[in-house]
Amino acid sequence: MKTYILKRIGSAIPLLFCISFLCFVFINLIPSDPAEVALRVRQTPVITEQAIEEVREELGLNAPYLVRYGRWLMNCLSFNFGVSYTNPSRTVLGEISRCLPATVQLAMVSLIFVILLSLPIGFLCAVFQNSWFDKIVRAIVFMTTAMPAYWIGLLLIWFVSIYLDLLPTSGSGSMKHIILPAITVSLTYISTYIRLIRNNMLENMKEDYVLYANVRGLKQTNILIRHILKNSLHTCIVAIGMSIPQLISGTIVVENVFAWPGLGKLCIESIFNRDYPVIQTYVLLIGTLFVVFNLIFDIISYVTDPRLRGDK
Amino acid sequence: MSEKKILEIKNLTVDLRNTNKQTQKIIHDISFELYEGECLGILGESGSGKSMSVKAILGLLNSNFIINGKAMFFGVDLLSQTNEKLRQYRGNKITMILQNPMTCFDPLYTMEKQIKETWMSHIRLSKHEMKDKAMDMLARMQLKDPEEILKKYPHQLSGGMLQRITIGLALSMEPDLIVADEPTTAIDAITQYEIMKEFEEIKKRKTAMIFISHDLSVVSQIADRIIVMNQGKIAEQGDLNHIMLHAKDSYTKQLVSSKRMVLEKYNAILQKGYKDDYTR
Repeated sequence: MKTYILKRIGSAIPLLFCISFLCFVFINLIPSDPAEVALRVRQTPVITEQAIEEVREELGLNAPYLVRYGRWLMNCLSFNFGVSYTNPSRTVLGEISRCLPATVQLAMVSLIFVILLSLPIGFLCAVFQNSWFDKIVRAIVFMTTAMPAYWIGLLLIWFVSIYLDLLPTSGSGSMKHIILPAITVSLTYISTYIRLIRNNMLENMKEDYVLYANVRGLKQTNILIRHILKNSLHTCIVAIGMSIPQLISGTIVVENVFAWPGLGKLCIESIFNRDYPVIQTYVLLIGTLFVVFNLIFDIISYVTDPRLRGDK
Repeated sequence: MSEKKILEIKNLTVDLRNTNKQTQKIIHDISFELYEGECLGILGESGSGKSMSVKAILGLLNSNFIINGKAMFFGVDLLSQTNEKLRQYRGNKITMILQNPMTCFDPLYTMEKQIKETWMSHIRLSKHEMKDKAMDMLARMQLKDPEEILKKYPHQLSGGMLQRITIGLALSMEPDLIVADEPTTAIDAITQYEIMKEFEEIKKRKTAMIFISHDLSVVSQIADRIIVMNQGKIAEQGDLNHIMLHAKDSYTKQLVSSKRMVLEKYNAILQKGYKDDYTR
């Protein structure tokens, strides 16, 4: 078991380097001169060739490509992500850590919604397959999967905040503020997980071990919960591992709709301002989150499955 | 043999409801009975409805199947019982051994947990008694190191070991009827031989048994009386001799003649080997 975990961590490290390299390459492929952008952002009145040259020197843009990548990487490893172009008094790390808690909070509340709703609904859909309940849920699932999040967000603002006047339209600060954005973020995931749990359970119901459990005369609730549900959830573990970073990165649109002061809003602002260091760090952070969560949940699913664990 | 009927199936039919509201007949009006201490063999190719008919009686088919007829077990009609009542019969008074022991157990639980949960569904036993009973059962099934086996997960045991455990479980509740549904089909030849020995032991205990198989030689080894099923109908009924010598149904004739051919070939090889040994 130890060797598997070490191997898995070992294989994640080169992956992280690949991500950092791709991230660096893509940001540098953007067809505008970072030095010029930096000058514009600093509101230099006249941009001369000389000024651009000076900024290039200052930002280290004259060095060869790989040298610049190496330098950036070394800085990243020591958590020095540079300074924001827009506001040179702020470090990128400071900006990210200012916005991260709000996004994590939103993602956590959304994840709780996802688990609390999709688990029982998916379970009931499988148990009462093809009943009216199952059919209605499937129709709703179909619709919510097809509707884009920002549109659902706008509809919710109109209906809940304006028409019913129950919750604030945007901003943050209280628990009331988080409800609408969290619902918007979680809706798509709830649909996905209802479908996943329902289908997994139906798949498992066809297995021999369920027939044999019935043959042995086990109680239905016991078979459904202890056996079928547990086996179905097992395949969901890896999916949840991927959903957590997806939730964190997927809040971009919703944060802008609801003016939620998180990473997504920071990212969009930085893109409009061509604030390269911030964008670069954001992309790197999200990439890293994917690798790390995938790693953690792979290990969890490995440890909880006796077949993978290879108990001798 | 005593003449007390244990199970009496009367006019059993099973229909499958299709998606477009049509029904398809799977079992056509079959009737048979089982007497105390008797071993009844049900023979037929796959899809002939042999295991379907038994699953129908035990309530193991889902609601897409429409079951009609009567199945009197000690005077109680199983088909008119509630699901909960049927559950109490299954694994207790009527036990079953399935075809594929490798996939019969939940891969996420140890054998100990799965053996115990079977008993816990029917009787009240303390933790200690439960453990003793499990150890005792495994030892009786001639499994070495029962303590170790209880700690293992299904994938760590061989098909033969797992089938012994399912047989042990089936016997452990001292049932009135054991149903064996192709118990040797998914197992290698050597283990098959050992498992058949186990069934001969069961037969000596005089527990009534229904033995389902597509293999005439396996069935002939154990059954007192044989039912041949073909396309959801009973094609032939009688003891082994009767079936081997007086088969009327064309399907049964085919089965018997292929069995004869194998036997003749086998005998010829034996004879030849015998002669070779002496003429050398």
